[in-house]
Amino acid sequence: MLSTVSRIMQQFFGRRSTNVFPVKYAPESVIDALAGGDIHPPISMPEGYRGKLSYDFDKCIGCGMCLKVCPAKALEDYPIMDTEKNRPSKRIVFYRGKCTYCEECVKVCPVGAIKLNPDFMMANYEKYGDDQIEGIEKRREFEVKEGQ
Amino acid sequence: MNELTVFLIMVISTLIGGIYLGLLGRGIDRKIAAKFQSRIGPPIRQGFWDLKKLMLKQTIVPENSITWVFKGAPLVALVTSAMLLVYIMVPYLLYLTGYESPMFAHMGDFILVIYLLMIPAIALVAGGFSAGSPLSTIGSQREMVVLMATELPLAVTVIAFAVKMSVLAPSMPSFSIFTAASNPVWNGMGPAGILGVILLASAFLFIIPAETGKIPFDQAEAETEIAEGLLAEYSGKYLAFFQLAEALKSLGVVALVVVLFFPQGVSTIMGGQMIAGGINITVPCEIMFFLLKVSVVYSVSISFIRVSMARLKISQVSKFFIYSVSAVSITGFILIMIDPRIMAM
Amino acid sequence: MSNKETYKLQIGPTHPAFKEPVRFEFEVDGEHVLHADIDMGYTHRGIEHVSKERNFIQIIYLLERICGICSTSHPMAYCLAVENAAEIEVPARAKYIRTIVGELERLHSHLLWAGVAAHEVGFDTLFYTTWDIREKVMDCLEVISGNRVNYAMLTIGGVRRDIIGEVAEAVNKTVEYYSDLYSQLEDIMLNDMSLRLRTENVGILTYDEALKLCAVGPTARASGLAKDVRADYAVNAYPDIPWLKAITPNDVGKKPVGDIYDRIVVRVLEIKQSVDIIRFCMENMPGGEIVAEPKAVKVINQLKKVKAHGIGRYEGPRGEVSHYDILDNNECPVGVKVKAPTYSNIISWVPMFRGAEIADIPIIMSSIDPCIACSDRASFVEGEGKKTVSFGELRKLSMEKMNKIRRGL
Repeated sequence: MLSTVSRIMQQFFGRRSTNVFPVKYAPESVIDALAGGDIHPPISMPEGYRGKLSYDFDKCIGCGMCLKVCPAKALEDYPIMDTEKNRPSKRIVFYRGKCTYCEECVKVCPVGAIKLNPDFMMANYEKYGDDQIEGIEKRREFEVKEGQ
Repeated sequence: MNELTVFLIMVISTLIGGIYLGLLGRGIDRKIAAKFQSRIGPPIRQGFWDLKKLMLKQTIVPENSITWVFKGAPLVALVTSAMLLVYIMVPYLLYLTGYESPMFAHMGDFILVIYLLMIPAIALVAGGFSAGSPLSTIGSQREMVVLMATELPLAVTVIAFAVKMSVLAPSMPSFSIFTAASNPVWNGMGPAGILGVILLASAFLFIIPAETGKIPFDQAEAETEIAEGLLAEYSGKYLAFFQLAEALKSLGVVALVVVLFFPQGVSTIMGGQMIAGGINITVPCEIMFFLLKVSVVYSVSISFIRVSMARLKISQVSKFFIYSVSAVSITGFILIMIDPRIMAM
Repeated sequence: MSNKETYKLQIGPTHPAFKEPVRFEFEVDGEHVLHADIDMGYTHRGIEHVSKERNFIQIIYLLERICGICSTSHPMAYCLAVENAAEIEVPARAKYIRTIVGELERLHSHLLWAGVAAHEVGFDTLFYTTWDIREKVMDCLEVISGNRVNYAMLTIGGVRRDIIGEVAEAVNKTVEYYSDLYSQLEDIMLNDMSLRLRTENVGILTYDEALKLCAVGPTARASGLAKDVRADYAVNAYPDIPWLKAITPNDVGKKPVGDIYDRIVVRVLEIKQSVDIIRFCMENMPGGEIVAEPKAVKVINQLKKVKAHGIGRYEGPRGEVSHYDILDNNECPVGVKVKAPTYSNIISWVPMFRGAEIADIPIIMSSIDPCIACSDRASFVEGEGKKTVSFGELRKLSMEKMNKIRRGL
């Protein structure tokens, strides 16, 4: 009984444990309103945190190993015409809404074209919106459609 | 000023102030509880927002409920809670302002206060039974058990006070709150009597959460057991009425404890009128001091107890009140009774 | 007594006390429970079936999501099963790292359970306190693995990340934090008056019943059944620990009753045991490789050539979890069978509920630390959705399914 009360008093006079939602990641529409109050910095992520994927279009060689290991099938390949080597190749898009952040594709990539960033804010209204698909702009630019 | 005018001003200001302070009290209670649990907690205004939102929400009346009881119960609870507050506060305010009139001498009868404490609970029970849901039926049964279990210690305390008042102020009505306020129970007490009053006060420490339905005595609403129990079927404005009633009742019960056990005002303690810059500020000071006492009792008996205990089982509650708390309050009563004889020896 | 009317109280599938959907039907007389009936199958996701369409590496991450709390236990049992089938030798260092991650998971699971149980009895402060304490182990796991819940640490033949340098320091710090805090935590959990009032002599599962109903994990150990896969079966680094044994309430000099209080005792002692195991592993960690074959695609190709079946057993925080996998010269296993600890413990609810009060229902229900998602492995899709299957029928259905697997369908 006494230890419970002492713990409660310890908590009453101690620091609160809640991490306030960091302003950095708040929607843009409310940032101005929030800036009037306290600005809470995001808590630091440890090294090796598995967050948002980033993909280097130019480094990729189109080997397709990542497609084989991705457990969630969050990757999709599309054909392109490799201008440097002048032969057809493949590139990848990532559906962030499907990704499970297992890092398997990062480990398997022979050229290090895929990386996981410490960026963790991924809330969005659209599951398959443009900003939830990594590499969609390049796909629109370079994809070779059938019959072309 | 006319006596009736004074009375009406007091009642109306008590009601408005009561609603405001009751909701504010809820907010402060939640904030303090959050602090005990090392959280941030909701903003203090949350009580007002909740009420506003509930008023705007759709009100659903279950198909198999007894409609008039279901709809009437929240109103009865609200009205009686407001009456309870008025009956406790107006005599005390009269005492604080020093407005004496024979018309008010009998105001705020203890027996009436006990009944008024019961009626909101009975309204809850009736509402719960009429809702026609097994969970609210269980909640109503539990509420009745808690209600009955707390009656004995409450009655014992009131009788002890009446007996003491009849000795302290034989010329005044013994069962009146005005009498209790103007003659603090600690006056003219020997060591045995003081111990007795302390025992009664500690019994009240547990009666307050039981009367207001807070952990460890919130069996009737037990969220994880019976999903808010007797409030399970209530929504919209009827739920808002119950919430308001609960806020008023909490304030009323806490005010009752303050009036009974710690009625001394600033002027009594400082021994005279408070004058600052040529203006008599005694009355505002008295009210501020009273609110301070209320908030201390509120945060100890409601906020602190509710964060430091687990919810008891209903069988344990009835045993706890019927054996332990009753024994404590009866011992306190006996000590107060025999105190004059010990003093005489 | 006999002419008293009883009524049926239905609790679930959604209820504030339940973290996952399960339905109970209680026959209630006033506040007393006369009989309990359990109905499950609300979270069946067909994970075993989906597994058959994934390759061996993909399955690890799928199985991790059977349950958020045992997100190491299931992959662990699966990896042990596949390694058993394909006879892959796990490096010693990987075994130690697996043990550390598993014990950190147990630490966080037991603290989480303590919070949930406290919430069920209305003790919200303890709920916040334990979850606050739990944050430290979550942070430690985040440093080790890069994520707070789904660690993705295991792979077939080893682990994916090493514990060295700063990460090792973080683990040591966590161990110290919990060693310092343990006495206070023990005092709060075991000696708090109101908590004892709610848990002592409630939901009793006697030694005989635990034995007969095949209870596992802390539920069985609280009844005095010294049964712990870590101590009984050589997996990971556990055989190297000389003092490791199954914890029962006897360890604090208390005769096991099998009530909820005993389950709290066992779990609190296991927190200490886990901390000691992690400290032992950190001190005695051997050097060397952390994985037998680091290239995932190579592992898949290697397993493609195997035709065997393997079983993996591991003591999860809630009890024994076992996986059975059938490999058949294919990129995907032809059969994956998951047996979660809750599956064994569900039936022990029935004797626990006998003679309980309505107020005891949530705490009894959470006292076995149920994971409904773990144990929902079957669901009827035809008919009205509810069906009673006799033992013979079930046996027949199982044999038919086994034959289907054998034929490679």
